[in-house]
Amino acid sequence: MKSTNNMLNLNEIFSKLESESYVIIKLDPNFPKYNTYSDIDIFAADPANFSRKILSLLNQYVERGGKVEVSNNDTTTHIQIDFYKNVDDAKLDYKFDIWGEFPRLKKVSIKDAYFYSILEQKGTIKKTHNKVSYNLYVPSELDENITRYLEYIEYYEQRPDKIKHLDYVLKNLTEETSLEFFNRLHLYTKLNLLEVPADSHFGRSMLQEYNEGLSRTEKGIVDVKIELAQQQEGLEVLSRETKELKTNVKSVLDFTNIIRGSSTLRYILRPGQLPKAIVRKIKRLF
Amino acid sequence: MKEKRLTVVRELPKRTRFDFFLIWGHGLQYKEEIIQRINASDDFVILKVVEHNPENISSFVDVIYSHDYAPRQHLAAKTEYLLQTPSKVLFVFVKNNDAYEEYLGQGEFRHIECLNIKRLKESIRNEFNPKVDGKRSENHVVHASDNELQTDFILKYLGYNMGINIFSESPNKIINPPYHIKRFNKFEIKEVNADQLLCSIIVGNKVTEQVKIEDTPHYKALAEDPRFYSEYYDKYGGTLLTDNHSFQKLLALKEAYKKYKVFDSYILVRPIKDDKYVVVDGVHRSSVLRYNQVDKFLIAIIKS
Repeated sequence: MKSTNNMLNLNEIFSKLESESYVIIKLDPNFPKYNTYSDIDIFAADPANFSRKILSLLNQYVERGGKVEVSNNDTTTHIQIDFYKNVDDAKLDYKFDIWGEFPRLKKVSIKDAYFYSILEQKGTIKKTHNKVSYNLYVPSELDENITRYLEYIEYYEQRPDKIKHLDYVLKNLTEETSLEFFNRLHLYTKLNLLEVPADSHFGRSMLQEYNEGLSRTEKGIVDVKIELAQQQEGLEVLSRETKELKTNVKSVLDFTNIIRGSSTLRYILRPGQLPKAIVRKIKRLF
Repeated sequence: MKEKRLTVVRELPKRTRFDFFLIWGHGLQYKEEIIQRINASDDFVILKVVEHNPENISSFVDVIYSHDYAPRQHLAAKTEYLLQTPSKVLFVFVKNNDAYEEYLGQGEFRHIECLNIKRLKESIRNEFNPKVDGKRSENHVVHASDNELQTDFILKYLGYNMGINIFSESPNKIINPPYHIKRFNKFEIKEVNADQLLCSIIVGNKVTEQVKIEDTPHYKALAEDPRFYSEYYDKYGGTLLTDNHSFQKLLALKEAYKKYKVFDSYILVRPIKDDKYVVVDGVHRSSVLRYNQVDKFLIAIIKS
């Protein structure tokens, strides 16, 4: 069960990080209070230096019997600092998740420049520690909406609770800010082709649609071969596989356990057109 | 009409590079003073001190000057005195934090050189070159690299096959331990008792022994007699101990602790059995802490 018996004084820690270039993503509204086993996501211009400063601020807690575990990836663009209240504790108290680049998402490609743009456009929240005011840095409202929207897009299938981010975005966007939101989103992001497990709920329904789409095109393997040949790409494939193929496109695609996502489906539904994605897929299968 | 001038609003970042100083055999009597001179400069950080005993000083001179800019016949005359010097030299590899490079010389002597290296090299030569009639001779006690390629070449010549790359990758960018520690991406920080720490001390030819802090030459030099340290470093410095340490630096650490009551980096350790740890970086700091009767240490334990 989560408790809020906080050992870390987050106000003290962040008041001493005021001169750093950072933003806290999805700041907990209860900050500086936190639940045991919770975390804070931070984008920092210099994550190694930022982590070093956090470690120096955590030393006092280590001297009071706590423990800190630190891990980083090879490029030091993702550093995790885990704090435990007691040296023998197996249960995490609080995690600092520090990023030096935008976390890699499967569904969306994000340009490197967006990370730095978030830091440059950062907003400020006034907080107080020991009766002294200090600045806590968060993304601008627009970037907060975009990062939440991206998180919703990335995880909505596995994590239904991520709908809260979409709700947040819908609640915050106005007619005026929507245009700005999509402009910035489209400037810095690009949708990736999806890999969807065929045995998932989403995969099964897509497969069904996919097959129905294929049926409507009435394409058999002969059509595919002709088109491969027409594209001057498939001549070799054509001669090599003539003997092996005793099936049609539909069953070839049924056979695979991974299928390409919506962008492929969109093309296949157009009669008379064989998209490059399908050509690539078929070539890979043989 | 008044001339318009550009105003420089921000200092350009300094270029860093790796260099070396070579103390020739006849200058080794001043090695401590020369190393102190390099240490005293803000521009250089000593990374490695390596003693070398060439089999043949003539061939060694050829190696050293093989990447030099000057024509060979000129160097032959210039380096003739070196053939009479002892066949023992000391390399001091440094990180040059302000490589202020300029083209110097004319015609076939034209070459690029760091002016900060040149300035320090000349000041060492002014003080320690042998004197003739009270004036500095040109029998230089010290040689230095003109460019990073020379440093890379010499490191490889000494058997460090990665050349300057041994210095360029930090083993961990968060706590920045010395270059010679194997890279690691995971560590744990906690407080332990001093008696949980052991230090690796050289006791024979490449043989190390793990001893308590109080049994290290470092601690004994502080608590009993400086000779414990100087004898240890005289024996192994430049060969098995190639970090930039000296008794003066140990005393400086002691003074720094007296002033600030804290060190700015963790004692870095690896776990061994029975809840004990062996220090991989920080024997000097551990000795100063124990000397000041500190019995709880903040350590960083390398995990992987």
